[in-house]
Amino acid sequence: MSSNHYCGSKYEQLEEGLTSLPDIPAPIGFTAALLARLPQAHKRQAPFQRWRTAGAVAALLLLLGSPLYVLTDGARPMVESTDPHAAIELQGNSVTVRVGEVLRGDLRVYNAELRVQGRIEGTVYLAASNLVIEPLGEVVGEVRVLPHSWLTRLRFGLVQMGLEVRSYVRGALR
Amino acid sequence: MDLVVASLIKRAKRGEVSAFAELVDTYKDKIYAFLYRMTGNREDADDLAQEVFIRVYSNLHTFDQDMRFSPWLYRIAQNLAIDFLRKRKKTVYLDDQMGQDNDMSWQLESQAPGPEDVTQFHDFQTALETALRELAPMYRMVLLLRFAHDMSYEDIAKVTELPITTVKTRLHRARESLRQALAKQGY
Repeated sequence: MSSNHYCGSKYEQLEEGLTSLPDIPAPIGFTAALLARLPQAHKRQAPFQRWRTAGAVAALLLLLGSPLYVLTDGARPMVESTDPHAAIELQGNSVTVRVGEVLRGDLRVYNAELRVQGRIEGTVYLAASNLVIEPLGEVVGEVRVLPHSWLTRLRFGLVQMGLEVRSYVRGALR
Repeated sequence: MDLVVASLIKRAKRGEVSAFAELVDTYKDKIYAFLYRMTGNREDADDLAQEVFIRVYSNLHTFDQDMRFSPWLYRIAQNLAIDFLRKRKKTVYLDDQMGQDNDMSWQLESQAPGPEDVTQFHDFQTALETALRELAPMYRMVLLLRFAHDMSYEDIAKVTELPITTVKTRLHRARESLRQALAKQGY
């Protein structure tokens, strides 16, 4: 044994030898080889992350797409009634409550001409619309005119698309 | 934790592969050396080191940045090494000539100044490497972590998931086993 390197306390010499053990470098190209394997490892690890991403994209499209759809849908007339049995006729830009029909509930009309030939027992909300009450027609309730804004259109659009939170829309419209 | 390492981990967690590559470059030699000395085989060490870093990549999102990275990394490495050694029924060291090959001459760099000292130290280190391989893996591991990788008792306890008192006891026994193994070689 070397007198220079292994004398005195044996443990101390051992520790010195262990501390001085040479570095052993990883093979050349180690990192590159590892990185080449990463995508596969990543797929194995978290398939749910792809679903999470897809879900986020879908939510974003819905969030952005719905208002855009509504807002860019031109001058399409929209009508909505709280009376599930209401017989409302929509033809072109004309919305008609026919003679003999009774609509019990509220009626919302956007971008159309509402012709009342029958009877409406509720509140009529009009936005960018005209109201024509014909000789036999009758509205027992209020008629309110809403501002013609993109927000009104959006709210009507959401109602049309079935995305309405009714209490919110009703409240907002009132 | 080293601020540079902390920054690399943060960026790697965000999915920056280049940051992860830097992290690998920082630790690959240490992990490879550790695994080489645990397995005694370059190919196995290479495979295991790759697996270590793949596991790091896959589990980096679970790493708590308030903790130190090095013990976490070594724990993965030691678990893989232990699993590997358990599966390997017979230990065969393909690199038994380590320390005698010309390509290992880098081991002598920065050691004793004179040629005679260098040769003597080289011989001793070769004997030390051989003696290390004769030790039980649990002894070899704590010795390497403590001295070759400069870990504190606390960090070794984290890596091995043992109480500190057990770590100290194991280190003491490991040193004694190493001394006996060296004695067999005339040191």
